[in-house]
Amino acid sequence: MGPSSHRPHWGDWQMHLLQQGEAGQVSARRKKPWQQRIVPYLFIAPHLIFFLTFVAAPVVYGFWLSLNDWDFLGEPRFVGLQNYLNLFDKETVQGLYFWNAMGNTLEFVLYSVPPLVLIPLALALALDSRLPGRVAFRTVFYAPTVLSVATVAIIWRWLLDTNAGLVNYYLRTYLGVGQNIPWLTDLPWAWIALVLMTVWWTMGGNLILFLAGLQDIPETLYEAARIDGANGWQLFRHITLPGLKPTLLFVTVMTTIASFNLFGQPYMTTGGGPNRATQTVIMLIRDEAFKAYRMGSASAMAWVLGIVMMVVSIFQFRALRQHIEY
Amino acid sequence: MSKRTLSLLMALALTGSLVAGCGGTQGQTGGDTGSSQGGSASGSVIQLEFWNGFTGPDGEGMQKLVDQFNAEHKGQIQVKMQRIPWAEYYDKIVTAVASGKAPDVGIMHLDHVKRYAKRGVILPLDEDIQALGLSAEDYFPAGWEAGQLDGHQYSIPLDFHPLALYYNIDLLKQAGYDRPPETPEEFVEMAKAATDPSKDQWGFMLQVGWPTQMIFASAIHQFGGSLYTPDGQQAAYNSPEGVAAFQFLYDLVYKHKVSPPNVPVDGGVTAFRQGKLLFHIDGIWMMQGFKEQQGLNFGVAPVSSLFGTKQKAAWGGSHQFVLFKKKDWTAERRQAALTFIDWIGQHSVEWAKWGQIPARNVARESEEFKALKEQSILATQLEHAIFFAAPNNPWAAQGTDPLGDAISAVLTNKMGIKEALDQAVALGNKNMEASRQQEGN
Repeated sequence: MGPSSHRPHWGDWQMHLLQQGEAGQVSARRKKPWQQRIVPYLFIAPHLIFFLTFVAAPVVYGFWLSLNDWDFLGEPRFVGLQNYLNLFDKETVQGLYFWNAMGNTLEFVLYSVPPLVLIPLALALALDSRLPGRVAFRTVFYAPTVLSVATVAIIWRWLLDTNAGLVNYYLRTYLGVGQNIPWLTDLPWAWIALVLMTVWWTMGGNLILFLAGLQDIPETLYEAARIDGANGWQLFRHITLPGLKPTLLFVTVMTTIASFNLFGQPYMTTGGGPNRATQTVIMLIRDEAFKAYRMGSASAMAWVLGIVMMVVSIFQFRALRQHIEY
Repeated sequence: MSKRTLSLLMALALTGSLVAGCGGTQGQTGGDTGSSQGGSASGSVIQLEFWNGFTGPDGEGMQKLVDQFNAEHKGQIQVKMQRIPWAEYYDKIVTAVASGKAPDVGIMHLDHVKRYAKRGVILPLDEDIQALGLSAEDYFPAGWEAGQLDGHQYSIPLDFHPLALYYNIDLLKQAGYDRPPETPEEFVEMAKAATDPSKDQWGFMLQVGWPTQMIFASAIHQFGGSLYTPDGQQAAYNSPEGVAAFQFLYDLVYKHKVSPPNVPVDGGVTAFRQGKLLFHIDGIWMMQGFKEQQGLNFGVAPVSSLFGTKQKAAWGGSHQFVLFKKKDWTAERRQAALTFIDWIGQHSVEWAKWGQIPARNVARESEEFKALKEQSILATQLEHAIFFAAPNNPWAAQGTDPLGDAISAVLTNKMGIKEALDQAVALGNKNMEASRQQEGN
């Protein structure tokens, strides 16, 4: 899927489910013979092998690279922390735009995560009810998720074209908007456009997770509450929401990580403009690695981005993990 | 029941991500197979691997040429062509060369050749060219020069692809003119006459982004300036001529109002296809697409004197043949590769039909090429072509790369022209210097 993808990592979700079931079994484990003890490891082996090969190894290798100067062809030259120091020096080409890109990325996370969590949640609640045609709706909402980012970008470039786009045409014709809105070339429209196309494209994944979470809440709880005279809001507030908390935590963290990795949508619609206002860290890393061929410096940028993401994720876990009732 | 639903949903999601994964990689037909090294297996037949980025309709044209070459060289040389989108092409070839699995023959853009020569990705071809009896006289001068570094020739030009003025013949007639513009005054006058915002009809559309940097490159030279310092070592487009050229373009939008503001990339293409745009300036490579547009009656003209009157100039590019550095080159293999390159050059009139101008004089001067009306009109721009390249500077293109920033900052009124150009030049020179430090030795 590459860095252009913007969707949760399914393998991690399965890991999460596994971890939930693991808690009470630790004490029993020691007495079993090795043949039995090895079984769980065999179960996780397929994922583990891929994880080690395609995630863990590149991460470690990337860190080593970030301590070197390497143009992809010659021998790497050890430079210590120079690549990191460059990021804090406004006189270098790296320092000039890295923090701009980091700021833009954080801005997108801030704008995109709330709608990417709340809209699918609302839709999941609606689709979980006895609504007629809900199966058809599920498919419709999930459908854009199967598209590649290039397809999504092309569709939205045509829809949001300043002069010939369908969106501005409707706004002019039916809502009487006088001026064409520069969706892809000026602020704040470019951010709105990027959030819009990202929500349209990726909300299906979150919607499915919420639907699964909703179905795990036992019907008996609702029955009992109804007998006690709870109304719709109270059911949602005291049963649905607490029951969804693990899902909510997972969806929020995964969506945040995906939003940090924003690349394909701005790369193919705004081009990072206007004046680098929508250039994200991943876009800058790509230019640094494959336009300038500074692999070490690009790796250093990736590591700094990774650390920022980790800090944010830990903060989210802390904030949301309290009072989880499994 | 809930478990079953969950697993169904999971399966659906997994399928979805697989489909998306496939979608994301389509178009790079087996990009990881590398070179097949089949030369020795089939006896005396030499199998060549040929990589390029012709993923549009042009790829069909090149495939036809390759097929014809293979048919004529049955039992001797067989060429296998692989197309990779340009956006990934250069990443791929560097990776392939670094891992020792490079193809034999490749295509590179004129403004990339010197840098990849400097980095040791491609081979010097002096002896091969001599053996074929080819020389600078067989090609247009700037195209040949682009392949030179430190006294060696690294590439053989295939074509020349300049900017073109596409004009809607019907709209031009309605506006009361019977020929395309040749001066800045005419350009503005005709564009004004065709502009009618109430009908969504415009004289021109200046896109905020690609290919406006090519239009600017043409304009600055037409105003008597230059993208680089005379020695070619520094970017210098923040000169008074650069500011004046940019001002002319800016005025098309904000003073003469013949172009709407905030036209996104390809916005002009869409409007031109819809027949709502009088003038569109873009690469010659767009011609085939416009020809396929039903109901679009258009002509082409040079852009050489549309913006300034000091000197004629038109931005252009050029595809060039290169050989990649790798271990398994033999004398026979190299000869086969050069035979192929030479053969394509001789037959490049066929290539011209797909919207290109042959770099090789013998093809360009043939009656067959002169019969290609549009291509012949645009070939006149060869004499005063401008490139994002400079002699003796492998990193010149990096100096002009930040032009994109300046264009988007100015055309969305985030910055003044001088300030934006100063900033872009400073960044461009910094970029060049950083690469010179890293790759210079």
